[in-house]
Amino acid sequence: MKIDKNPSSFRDPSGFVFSDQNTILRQISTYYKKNYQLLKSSGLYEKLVEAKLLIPHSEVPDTFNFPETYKIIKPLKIPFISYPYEWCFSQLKDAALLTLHIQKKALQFGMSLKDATPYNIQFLEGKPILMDTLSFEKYEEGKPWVPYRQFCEQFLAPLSLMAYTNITLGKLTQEYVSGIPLDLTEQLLPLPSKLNPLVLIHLLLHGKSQKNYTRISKKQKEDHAFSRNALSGLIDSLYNGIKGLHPKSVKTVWTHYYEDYHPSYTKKSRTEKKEFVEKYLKINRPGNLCDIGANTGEYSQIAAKNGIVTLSLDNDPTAVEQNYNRIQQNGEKNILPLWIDILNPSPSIGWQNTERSSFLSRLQPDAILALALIHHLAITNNVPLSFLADFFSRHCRLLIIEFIPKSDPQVQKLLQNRKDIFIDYDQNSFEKEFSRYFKTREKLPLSACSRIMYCMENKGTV
Amino acid sequence: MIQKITDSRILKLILFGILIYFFSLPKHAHAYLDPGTGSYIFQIILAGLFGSIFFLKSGIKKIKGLFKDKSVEKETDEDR
Repeated sequence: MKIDKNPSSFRDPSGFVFSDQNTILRQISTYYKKNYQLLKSSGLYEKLVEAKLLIPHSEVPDTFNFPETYKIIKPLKIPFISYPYEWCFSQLKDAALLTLHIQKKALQFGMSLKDATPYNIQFLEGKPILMDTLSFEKYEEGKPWVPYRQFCEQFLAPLSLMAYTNITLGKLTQEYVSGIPLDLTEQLLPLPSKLNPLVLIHLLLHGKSQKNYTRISKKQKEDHAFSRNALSGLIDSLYNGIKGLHPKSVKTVWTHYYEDYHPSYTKKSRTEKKEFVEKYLKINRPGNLCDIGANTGEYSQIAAKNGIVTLSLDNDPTAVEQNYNRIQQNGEKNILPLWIDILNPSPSIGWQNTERSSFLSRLQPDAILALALIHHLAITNNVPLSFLADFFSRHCRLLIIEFIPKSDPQVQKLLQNRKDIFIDYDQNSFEKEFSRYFKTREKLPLSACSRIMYCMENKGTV
Repeated sequence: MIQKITDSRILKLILFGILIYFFSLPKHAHAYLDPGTGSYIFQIILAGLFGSIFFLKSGIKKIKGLFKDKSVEKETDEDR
């Protein structure tokens, strides 16, 4: 029996997550017994699960003999675990609003959240969901909201920086795993943002208070109670303020890629490309797929429509934002857009460098879609074709890839200001390098352009 | 002898005092998270503001609710 304790589940003594032969389970400690019973008996669990706000679970027999165990539960499996530094603005915003919404609901049932971190939220069927069943505790009237600081540093600070300073500052959450310090946030925020009451109260004045008050006596605590109305007002103030935040609009090269900047494709070649992708996804029926360099998710949608759970990656946060917003508008369920630069995917971070695992260690797709991608990796970023073939072979069984030759106008553009040092970048070298690891099942030169589509199958086991 | 009795009384009193102290401490049985002193005090300072805004808003909502046609009320995202 192989039991692995999850390396990120150690801070809260209420329980921990572990895996037993690929099944994810959660131990509930006797320490948390009363709160778990209240969560169930109050009707809060049922209400949240019914509204798809909290991950459902079933109670399973305890055959593990962990000390101090009250129960073992089996939560519904999340297809892919992602982290806040991999989310676009609206994903983080929706996760923040969900957290506050759950706090409001919990109060109605006599409970309160004891932590409020984006790491407790995951995406399931396109929507954020709370995955930490042990986040609730009995509400004690008079007590301020314990996770207020955590919420402001882990949700509000990055959201405000993305909205007012620069959308790429969301990546600061990777550096500051416990939350972005409020004094740093204040330094980075521009003056106009400081007129927003949300920023002024919850980040600036809050930050000043953190600096000015370092001690509190027991008497001070008891003399000043924090009423239920005050707590509700605090949550409302955060909720309404965050609802009004929007990402700083940036038009990047990628956001209108297909419409504005793409002389390489005619309508016909785009249709051919889509048909090729759909045909080989239907034939091979991969269990899940990763679309690398997905832009706004045009091709990910083909996979998703065919019932394939799809990760849709792009290194442009604005493109990821558009992808996510469309998913929300259309109620699409099979796509998870993530803000990932495949040249520098998220590393393992946190305690012992294992608390939050690296992106590539979590990436185990059955199939990879690499369309209009390899010229950016090989030419813009000098990654040799042999490295690319090796990379794809490590991560998928099925590869649908587009080769873009030097004669293509897009590649010409990449080469216009630099010396062409890429003597091996041609169709023959591409096929030679990839044939070391893959068997080509189908090859289709797109008409009206010089690009070639390939469907390849890994020769070995991944 | 008298000295011994006094000592044991003092000891009992101290023990009693310690017990009272522990039982009177606020119960943070599950607060594994440090709320941060500044963040804790900040909420207390603004309690009046948040409390009164919420009180006013709920009052307005209730008054508005009196005039709303209940038959057309639908569950909104907020009510989920």
